[in-house]
Amino acid sequence: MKDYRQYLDPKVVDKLGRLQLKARLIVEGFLQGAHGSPYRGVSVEFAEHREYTPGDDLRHLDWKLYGRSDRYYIKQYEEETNLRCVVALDVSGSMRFPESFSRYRYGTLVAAAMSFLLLRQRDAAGLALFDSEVRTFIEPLSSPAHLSDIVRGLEKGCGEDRQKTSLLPVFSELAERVHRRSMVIVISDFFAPVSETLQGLARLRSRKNDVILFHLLSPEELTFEFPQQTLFQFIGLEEKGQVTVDPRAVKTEYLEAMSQFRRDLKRGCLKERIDYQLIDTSTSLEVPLTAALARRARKRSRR
Amino acid sequence: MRLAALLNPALAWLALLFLVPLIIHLLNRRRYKRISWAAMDFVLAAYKKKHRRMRVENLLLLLIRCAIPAVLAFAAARPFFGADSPMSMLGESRRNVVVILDVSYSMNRVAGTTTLFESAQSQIQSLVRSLRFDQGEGFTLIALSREPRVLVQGSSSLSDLDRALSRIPRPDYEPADFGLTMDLLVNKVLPELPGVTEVLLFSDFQRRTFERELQGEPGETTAEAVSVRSLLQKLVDQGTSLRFVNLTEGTPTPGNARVVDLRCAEPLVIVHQSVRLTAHVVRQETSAGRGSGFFRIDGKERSIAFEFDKQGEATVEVFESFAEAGDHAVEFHLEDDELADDNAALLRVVAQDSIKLLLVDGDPIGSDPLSGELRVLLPMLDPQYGEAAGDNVHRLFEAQPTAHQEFNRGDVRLDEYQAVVLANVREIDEQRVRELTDYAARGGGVWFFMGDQVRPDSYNQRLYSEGGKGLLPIPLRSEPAGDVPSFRNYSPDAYENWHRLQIVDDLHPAMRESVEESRRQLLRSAAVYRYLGFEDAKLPDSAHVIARFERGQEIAYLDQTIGLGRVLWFSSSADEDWGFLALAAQVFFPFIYDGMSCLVTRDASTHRLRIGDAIRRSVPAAPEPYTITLPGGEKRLIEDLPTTPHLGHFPLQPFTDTRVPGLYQLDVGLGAGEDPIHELFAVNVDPAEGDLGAVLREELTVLMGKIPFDYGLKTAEGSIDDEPRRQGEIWKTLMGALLVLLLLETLLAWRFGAYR
Repeated sequence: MKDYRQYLDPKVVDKLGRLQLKARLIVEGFLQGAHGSPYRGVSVEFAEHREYTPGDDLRHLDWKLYGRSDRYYIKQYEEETNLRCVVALDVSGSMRFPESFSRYRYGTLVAAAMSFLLLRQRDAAGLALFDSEVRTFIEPLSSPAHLSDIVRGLEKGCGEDRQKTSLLPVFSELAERVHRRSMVIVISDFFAPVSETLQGLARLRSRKNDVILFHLLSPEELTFEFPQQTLFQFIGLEEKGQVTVDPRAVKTEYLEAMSQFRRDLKRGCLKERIDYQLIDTSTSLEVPLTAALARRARKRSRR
Repeated sequence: MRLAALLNPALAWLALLFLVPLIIHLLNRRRYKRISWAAMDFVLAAYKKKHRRMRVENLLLLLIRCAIPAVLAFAAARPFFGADSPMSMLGESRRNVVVILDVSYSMNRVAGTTTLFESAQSQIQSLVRSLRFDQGEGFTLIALSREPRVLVQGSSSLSDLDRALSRIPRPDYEPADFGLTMDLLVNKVLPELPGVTEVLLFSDFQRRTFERELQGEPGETTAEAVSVRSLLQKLVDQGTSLRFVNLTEGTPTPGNARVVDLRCAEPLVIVHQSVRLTAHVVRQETSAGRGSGFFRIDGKERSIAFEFDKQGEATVEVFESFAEAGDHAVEFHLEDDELADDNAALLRVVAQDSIKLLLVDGDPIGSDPLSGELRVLLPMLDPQYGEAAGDNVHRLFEAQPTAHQEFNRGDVRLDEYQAVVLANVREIDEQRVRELTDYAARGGGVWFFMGDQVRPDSYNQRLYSEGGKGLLPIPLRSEPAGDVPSFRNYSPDAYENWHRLQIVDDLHPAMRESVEESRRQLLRSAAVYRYLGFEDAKLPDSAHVIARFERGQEIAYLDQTIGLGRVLWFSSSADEDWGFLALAAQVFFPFIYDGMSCLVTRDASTHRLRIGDAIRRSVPAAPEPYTITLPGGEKRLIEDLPTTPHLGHFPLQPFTDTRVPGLYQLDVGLGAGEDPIHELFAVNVDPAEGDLGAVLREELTVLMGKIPFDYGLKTAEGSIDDEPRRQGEIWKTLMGALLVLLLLETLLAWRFGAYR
């Protein structure tokens, strides 16, 4: 059987075909790994049977029941069409970093895979692309064909002129546009004032939404390690100025500031009961998918 | 702080390498990689927090990196600091001394049981022994002398010192010259010897040694003093200390006496003729007192006691006659005192048989030579002319008169005479002119007197040669000047118009007796009224004016040197025809006598020399290998002989080894037909060196100006070694500093973040 787990490596899957295909492969890889994964607690539960209709995925055909009944039935998993999820992806200038494999591309894969997974579960998936404001909003729908809309929206988002990140107005707008009690997955680097970010997130939470934060950071941003021992001229994306310095000279202070920023954001998220997940963009896509599904499961169990 | 010197100054240029880290630093600031960065806020925050400190760290690292090559270059250049500099404490000390030893003869003075020279040698040996040769210390020894010289240069061996001192068992017989010695030290020795810490001068600090620097009016600084100061300033600027060790410090004032002169009163000494020998003695104390000594004449001693006058001077005389013609050795010795080297003087006296003269009468009257032109000259020179020689009669001059016709015929042999006088001779045959010229060149003396017979045109044609090569140095005028007075019409006014002689050269031997004022007035009064003068022409170097006429300043009396001989020209007559001179016996006799002495004697100074002067002699014929006998008996055979005559004579090679006072004997054979030459040369010390008056410390301080020096150190044993002055050579300290800098650079670079 083909090993789809390789497609959890963002750099591997990124080279493959269109985004829709990538999303499917990621999810296949994820689901394949889920059986042997440490995230065992996160499983897709069988709910009931329904009669087979052409077009259904034959992998979910219950062959035992066929043997007993001589009729084709599809296993239905725990899915509720009333789970509405919006994946909000930051498309601001800072998401272009790093050039080799940008946060945006990683986020796109996560968003696409999440959408595929949700739609597969018969959840409603939607998409919001934002920078200083919400640029694109695709209403959550549960139709499998909706994936194409989402994918299209994601692909389109790559070419747009990007602005600076401004999260407070974005979250405020999302809070208005997203149905109450939805799940909102925010994928961003969150390079904005923490207080404003938390304020915006609080607004989302005030409408009883479940919020998951995928905080995407590149390994260079996390470690501030550079292979060359030389001066670097750091040119800020989103027109934040430039400075020439040897990274080794300011590494300690930078990491302190970065840690403080993450701590503040995480603390703020905890306070609002928002799931905060730091994602190193060089790591496997399994992490964000697992986190999202775990949250989904907890939400379902509270109902 | 004063930087003494750099032992390897060429390497100091490497210090410019400090620019390399600076350039690298500046270039590195332009080399960076560009990177777009999203988390810019954090980088900016980190930079803001850190940039001031980074600047300080970078600057510190840069300074250290620049300092490293500079310190390395400085260490390689091996700087050292003078003993007075606090920097010398950082260094490895080393003593490198220059010892200057006064070798003038005043150092031979006895002080206590030893001479000053021996005392100096002993102290120098003690000093050199105290040096740490195994640690690179060394010494140089220089002789302070009239001709200073390096005896040992840059040595670390006691045996070098012993060898050098053994070569100078006693001082030179010469004085010393401080300025020349300092010039040798600073300009020749020290450039070869970097790192000299001290210069020690061991001397009696006699005034004579500093004479040239101290001469001048009180308060006036001489050019020589300025020169010496600038030399010594160079020493001090290198961190070298100066120490003057006065060996006479604490010794009593010496009572030294010295012989300053010894001479024979008569220039012409004839056998059996009593001559006066005079020695002049001076002593250190300016007070009257007794003295004693002896004359040694040809080996025979005659003791003599004498009295010093209140000025501490004495004239000691003795009369002596010489039985034989030839050179005689005359010495005068004082009794021994503290300084023996100046207690003697030596003299060569040449005694002659009668001086044979040829007198040529230009206007003879009959056969009686006393009737013609020679009527005054002949009896004056040879009063015994025509008389039979008595047993006890010695004629100073043996005159042989001859008429000009005989002379021009060549009937006389010039070589038989020591001088030839031509009085009023009309003209001279060309062949005789050649003979006369040759005769003069070989040492003969010729004297021309003018008169009414002389034909100037003939003289000018035959005797004058341009450039002083002829007997006549400048042409005669065509006509005589002045008038012969008529004594019947004599008037005092006419007397006033006569021509009086004015001596121009007081020191000329032809005027020896006439320089006294009374004689000078007499000479002046014995005027001439007619003379045959010389044209206004430039005198050649071989000619010399002895006297002029007061009015008009025309040349009256002239001396021309031809080879070894002399030619005198007197522009008036030898008799009373043209003037009163011949009638004034008290003037004319000394005039003639001095002229003759001048013609027949050699310049005495050629045989009276100082230490170091060369013995020079020209001989009339090609010499054979000859000898010079030194005082003490050593004979030197000279085989380097002249083969080409110069102006008719053969100059012998100058003999310069006259370092010891005494009588040197020259014996030269001239081949068949020529008499050999046996002559004495008296070489004396310079008596001025015997003036032991020391330079005062105050005078030395004024001479030295602002240059610091130590003076008057005790000469007790060991005192020179006390608190030796050691320089600081700090290259090892610098290498240590370099290591520290390297470690510091490594540590800081690591601490500040790898190799920024």
